[in-house]
Amino acid sequence: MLMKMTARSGEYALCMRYKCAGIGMDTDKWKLVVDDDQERARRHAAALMALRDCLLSPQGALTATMLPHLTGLRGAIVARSSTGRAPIYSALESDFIPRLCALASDSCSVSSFDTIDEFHAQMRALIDSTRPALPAACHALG
Amino acid sequence: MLEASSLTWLAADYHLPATYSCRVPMSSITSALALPAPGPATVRLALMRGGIEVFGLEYVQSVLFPSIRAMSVHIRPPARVALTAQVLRSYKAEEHPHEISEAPISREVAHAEGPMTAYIQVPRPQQDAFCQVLGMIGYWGQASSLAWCTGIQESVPPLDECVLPLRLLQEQARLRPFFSCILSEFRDRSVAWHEVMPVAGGRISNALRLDVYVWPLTEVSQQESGRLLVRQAFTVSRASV
Repeated sequence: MLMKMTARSGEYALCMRYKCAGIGMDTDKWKLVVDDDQERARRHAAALMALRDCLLSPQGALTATMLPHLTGLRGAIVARSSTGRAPIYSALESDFIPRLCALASDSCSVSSFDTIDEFHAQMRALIDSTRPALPAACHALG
Repeated sequence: MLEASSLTWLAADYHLPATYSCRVPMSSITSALALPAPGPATVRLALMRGGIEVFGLEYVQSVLFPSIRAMSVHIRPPARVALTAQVLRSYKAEEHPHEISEAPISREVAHAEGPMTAYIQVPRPQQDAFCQVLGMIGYWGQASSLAWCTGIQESVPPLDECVLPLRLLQEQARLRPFFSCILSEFRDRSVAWHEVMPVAGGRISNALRLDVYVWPLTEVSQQESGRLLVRQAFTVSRASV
């Protein structure tokens, strides 16, 4: 039996925010629930891996028959190392990468990527070398 | 009560980088309508949440909350907002038996061009603290409605371009098909902490009141269920507080 099905490709813009300071926290009251640093680090790594894999191996409509897959990936990873929000900017803007790169500072690193392997390498580095911070409220309380 | 001279206006601009969805109060969860921007109660609750994250629960309760519940809040929507209905998968955890059920729901989402601005009037001694809190707000309403604070200035709100309760709309405002909807606001300036931060098992009181609000946005096009709204001042000749 012959079956005809339309196939398409598209360019999608996506913004994600991950707040590692929320790992193991009651985020309503911002109080630490999981005080084991190893466990927090393990959950942090798992969250980053899930974030990486949902881009590198996407799911979606018709996953079983059409297997959505990447043909390219570009963007920027912005990481904030002090209290505050990392900038997040619409990827629908054609110049979103240079605009984000221009916001880099001592407390805000911005690294852009133009290929999936660059993205993978940067995520690998984050998974291997970063640990979840504690929110400002915890520091304030000592 | 602080005198007006000891108060100052802070204006925080927010970039809305992706689609967002702040639900119109009273609209069905399974067929939700979206607001073009968050309402006043959402702004106050976001200030509380951001404050707790930065300063801790006790400080917000004792120091910032009396200002948050009493402050004047104005919201200037983005220059252009598109509203479209989307079909989503919804998941509900059932207690008996323990399983997750799935059902399709409809929810409007908004996409904006241009920043939205939140104006709050704060006591001068707390200005720095509120600047920190405004900078910490990362979303409006639900966590997927991302926002990023691009700047904070001292600035008086242009009331002609801010959402207003219908009853306060000046009579001389030109009659146009402004977008209107129900919004929630804190019941009054004496709302108690435990009413907006309910604890499990506690009595839930009605800390919010609903009112009809008018947005300085007019509809310029419609395609099926999608609408495009463009910001337009209520009156052309005046733009002052």
